[in-house]
Amino acid sequence: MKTLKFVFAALIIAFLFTECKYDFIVPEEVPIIDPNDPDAEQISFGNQIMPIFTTNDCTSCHKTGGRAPDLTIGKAYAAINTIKYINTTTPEQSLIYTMPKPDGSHPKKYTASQAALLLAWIQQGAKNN
Amino acid sequence: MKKYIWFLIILWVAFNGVSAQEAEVKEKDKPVRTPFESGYLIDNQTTLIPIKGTLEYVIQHKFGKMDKGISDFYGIYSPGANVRLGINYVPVKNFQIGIGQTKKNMYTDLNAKWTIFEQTRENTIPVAVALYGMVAVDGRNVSAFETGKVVNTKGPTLPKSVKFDDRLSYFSQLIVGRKFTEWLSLQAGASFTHYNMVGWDYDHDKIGAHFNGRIKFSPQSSFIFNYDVPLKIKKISEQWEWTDHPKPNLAFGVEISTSTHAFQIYMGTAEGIIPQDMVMWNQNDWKNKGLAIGFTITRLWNF
Repeated sequence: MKTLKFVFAALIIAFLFTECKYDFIVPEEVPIIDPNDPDAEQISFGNQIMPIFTTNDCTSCHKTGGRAPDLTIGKAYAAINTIKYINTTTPEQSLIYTMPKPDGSHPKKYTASQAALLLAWIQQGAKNN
Repeated sequence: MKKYIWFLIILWVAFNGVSAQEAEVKEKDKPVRTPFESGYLIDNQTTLIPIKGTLEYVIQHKFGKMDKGISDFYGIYSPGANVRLGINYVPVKNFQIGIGQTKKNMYTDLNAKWTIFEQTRENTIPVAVALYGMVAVDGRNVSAFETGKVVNTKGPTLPKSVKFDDRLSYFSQLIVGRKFTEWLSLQAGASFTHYNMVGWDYDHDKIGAHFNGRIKFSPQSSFIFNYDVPLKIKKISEQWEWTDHPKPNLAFGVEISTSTHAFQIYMGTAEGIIPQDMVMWNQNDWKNKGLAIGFTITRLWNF
């Protein structure tokens, strides 16, 4: 009985230090990039697109020797710059965009702003810059 | 009037007699044997707690959804799998504490279960009553939470960065169970779930109703099922309308048990394993190819 009292006392003390919060996560703002604007800022593959693959842990499966496409640094551009993954005539149908976009079928997904950035990069010609 | 008084006196004597009998029986009355084979029932808890000094190791695994059919062998090869590893210990009779790790959202959880009453053989206590509670920490990197900032109201307030207590979520449940016959045990429960931090269009609180049971068809095997419903309660909702209200979790399967093992293989909808995740975030619908294969294995040691 003494141990029971001790365990309960410990639990009550533990709960005193935690409080119920009602916080909301501030959503990301989706950048609006007009594909027809010639003066629009060029999206860099190395600086803006590559971090999407590495920070989302895409490379834990899509690595050298893993599932195609290989998205590791140095190999990603060559792996996705094919007609299978990138469709420059209708960028919205590119597989690299359609599968992991927020309502896509891939188990891990881009955030809305990452998806918008990737689509804009394909619309600008999917350059290795 | 006189008749009425007489009636009351007779009633009082009669009931007194009954309760006096109950008091005599109570001293000998023992708890029923194995209302359930294990403390786990698919992904829910039962009122059963192993004897004092028992260490329990549990592996809970759920494969991906079966909707793609044979192309990924009904979810076995699918990448959307989830797993939980847990350890429970019983330091005092009918009180269990546990820790666990879940792959989805990198949850680390602390949990406790207390069986307040056990059902007795002579029916002096007709039902078993248990309390279950769990606190979980979402251990993902801050980049998983959109901007990594939170606000406590949706008005024009200054966003703050995600703190440790924002990652906490709570689940508390009252379970009432009864072993009706040797082959039939049923449970019902009510639960309250709270997340300290949610996305923009979601609720922090959710009340759930739970119903589960087992139907034994041989000394070691039973058919088991489980149904958890997140309730739509306008009073505790912070939203104007129900957009992504979580779907009920339906699961059914077979349990094979020995004295130190329980092996449960089932099909169920919820992708989450810890209860607050199932009540809050399940979007898989059993009516729309939302089922997935899963299993629960427990192993007991006594010291």
